[in-house]
Amino acid sequence: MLFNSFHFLLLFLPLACIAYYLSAHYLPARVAKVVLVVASLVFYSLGSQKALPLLVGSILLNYVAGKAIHGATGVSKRYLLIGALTANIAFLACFKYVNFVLGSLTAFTHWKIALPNWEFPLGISFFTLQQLMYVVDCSEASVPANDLLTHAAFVSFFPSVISGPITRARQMIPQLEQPAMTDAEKISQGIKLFAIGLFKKVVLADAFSRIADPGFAQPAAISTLEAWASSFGYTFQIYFDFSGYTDMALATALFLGYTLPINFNVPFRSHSVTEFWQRWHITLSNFITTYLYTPIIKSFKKGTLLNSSVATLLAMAIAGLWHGPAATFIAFGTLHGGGLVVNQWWRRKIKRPIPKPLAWAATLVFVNLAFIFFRSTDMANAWRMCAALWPRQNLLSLALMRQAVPLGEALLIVIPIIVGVFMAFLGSSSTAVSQSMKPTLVTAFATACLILISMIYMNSNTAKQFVYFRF
Amino acid sequence: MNPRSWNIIVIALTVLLAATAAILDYERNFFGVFGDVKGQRYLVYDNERTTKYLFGYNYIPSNFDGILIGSSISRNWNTGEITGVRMYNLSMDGANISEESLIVDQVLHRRHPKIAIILIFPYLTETSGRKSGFMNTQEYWGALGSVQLLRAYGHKWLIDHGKVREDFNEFGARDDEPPHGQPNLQAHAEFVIDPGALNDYSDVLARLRSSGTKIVGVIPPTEIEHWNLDRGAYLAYYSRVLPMFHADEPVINLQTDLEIVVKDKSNFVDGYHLSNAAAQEVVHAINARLHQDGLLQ
Repeated sequence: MLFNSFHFLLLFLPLACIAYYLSAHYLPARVAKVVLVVASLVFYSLGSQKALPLLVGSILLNYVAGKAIHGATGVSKRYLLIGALTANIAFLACFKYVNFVLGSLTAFTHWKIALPNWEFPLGISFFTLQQLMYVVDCSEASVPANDLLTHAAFVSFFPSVISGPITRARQMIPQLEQPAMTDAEKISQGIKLFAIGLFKKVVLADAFSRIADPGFAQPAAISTLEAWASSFGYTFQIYFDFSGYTDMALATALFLGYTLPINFNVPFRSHSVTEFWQRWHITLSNFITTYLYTPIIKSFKKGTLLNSSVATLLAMAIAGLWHGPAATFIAFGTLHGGGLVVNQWWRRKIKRPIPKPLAWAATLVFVNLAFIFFRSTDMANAWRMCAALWPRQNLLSLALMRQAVPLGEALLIVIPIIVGVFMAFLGSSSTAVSQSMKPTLVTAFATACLILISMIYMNSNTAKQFVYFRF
Repeated sequence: MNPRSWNIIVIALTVLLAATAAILDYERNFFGVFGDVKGQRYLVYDNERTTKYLFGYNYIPSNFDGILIGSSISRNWNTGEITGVRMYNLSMDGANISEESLIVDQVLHRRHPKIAIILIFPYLTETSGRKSGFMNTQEYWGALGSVQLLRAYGHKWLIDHGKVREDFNEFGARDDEPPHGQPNLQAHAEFVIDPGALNDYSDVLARLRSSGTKIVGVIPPTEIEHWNLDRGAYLAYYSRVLPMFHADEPVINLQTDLEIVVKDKSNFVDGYHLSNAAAQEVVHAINARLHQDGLLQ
């Protein structure tokens, strides 16, 4: 089920919120938690019924692992942790990487290997990562082992189960211990956040996709201008798509009375790649730093700049691979790793400040370049797109764009694009906007208009799935 | 204002604005989907797929008792010139039989037309399935407020203010000549036939028959040089499609009936699509034949 569907907005969300609100107010705490788990499992099964047993199985496995690790000591604790981590990684690999590995083996060896036809379970990357962090935290005794109901509520929590934000147990469990109570202020903030998120997704992201798609479909045939327009189109599309989704997830949690961590903080205003990762997919960045980079650097004997660079590159390449088993994703991660390494060396060795406008422009162009690899279907197409960015004979033609986006349609997307560019470069984060908006008649009218415009787009054939659903 | 009042106002305003927009769009009834539209005149604006699909819900069944099923080949066949029946031209640029059948289904749901003319041309069966994200049931609700509707409003505004011209008439036929293309004189050993499309073609015929609609097949004229080049492919194609027609369902072969038309290159913009003048001649020929065979009074 999509957040940007009428079924969710008009049926599931109100019903789930009312059921949870009533149970949290009038029934024992345990019942409210059961209501939350049932609502979450219903939400998940509406998106992917077949994968529901996998989610439930993963919850049970990690619940047992968490209990066992928490109760164990010494070597047995270590073995249990390794076992739990291996099981989770194997689980993820089965659905995400087995086909890729076997396919590559078939290509290289010409062996006839039957590829398993397993459907990709919705949100597997997110709920597996969340539980990986949980078992590590259990082993470090930084969180207590959950009871089954709390663990199920934590992992299956419907606002975040499909595409995050990736929540750590220590952030969420204390909220789940006692059923959270929402109030008018939280609902008010939630409405504003949901309205902004919905608008970002259905109006802005989909408008940018109209200029991104034609270029990426035919990278060999586009002009330099079209290559820049398409690549930036995608960079903005994925930002509004993913951050719009996150806003709606945060808002949905607020309707229930919970607070999820923020995931985006106007990333295109960054002045370095390091700053970019502090503003982009923040919960994934925190995971990379805490659970990948730190253990890798600890495994080196000395914390030198060189070792730090190697750890950064490795951690980012793994983060790229987490998105999917493709060379393009590894290239995306490694490129960002390279960018972070250059940042580290510059900061520690060269120590010369770069003028802010130049640093901002260079960061933006670099991020845009990396997203070309993220979006392209394969490495060959990614290189073609990169090559098209360089000025050459076909410099300013807009023939392909004109063909793909007729004039009537162009007029409809031009305003969302201008609004989007303004929001990305000059606006504040959605959370900041929703918190700073005073409850006045003007803001009420503006919010209602935002929802109405989004609903018109939702009721159209332009609505697309969230980009991050496939991860 | 406290947050509680603010929340209530936002929800109330959203419901009010959405309801107002929906009521206005319902009253405007731009696609003729709602209420009684008998005797009214609707034109295609912006997206012909969305519009003709939605016309199939109400406007066509309420105002027409005949349909022409075709692709861009028959886009400019003005069915308004066929006498004894009000015939709507369902042809769309780039349409295959699967897309056409989506509209036919909607029409048959409301009314059983007296007569249906169906093109016998390889393009209709070359592919199957929808060619776009349009023409689905969501389009119906889109008539109450959607981007497609806004685009159609915008297109009508541009026409009303003389910025662009209206290409369609109330019978669904275009009066703009198809774009002149380079004649493609490459011979086809055979025409691609999608098995799914062939099924859809057969299904459309079956549904029309069960609705009591008289079926007439039409082989459109192709410029003689092009036809001769692909003669074998055409004959093979006809041998696959013609057996789908029953003995009492006439097939008008304009390739042979309109010898003068097919021999004159100037009647075609690209060897296949007819100029407007030739399209008019074709419609007159079909009209004459339908009356001659007693299919129309």
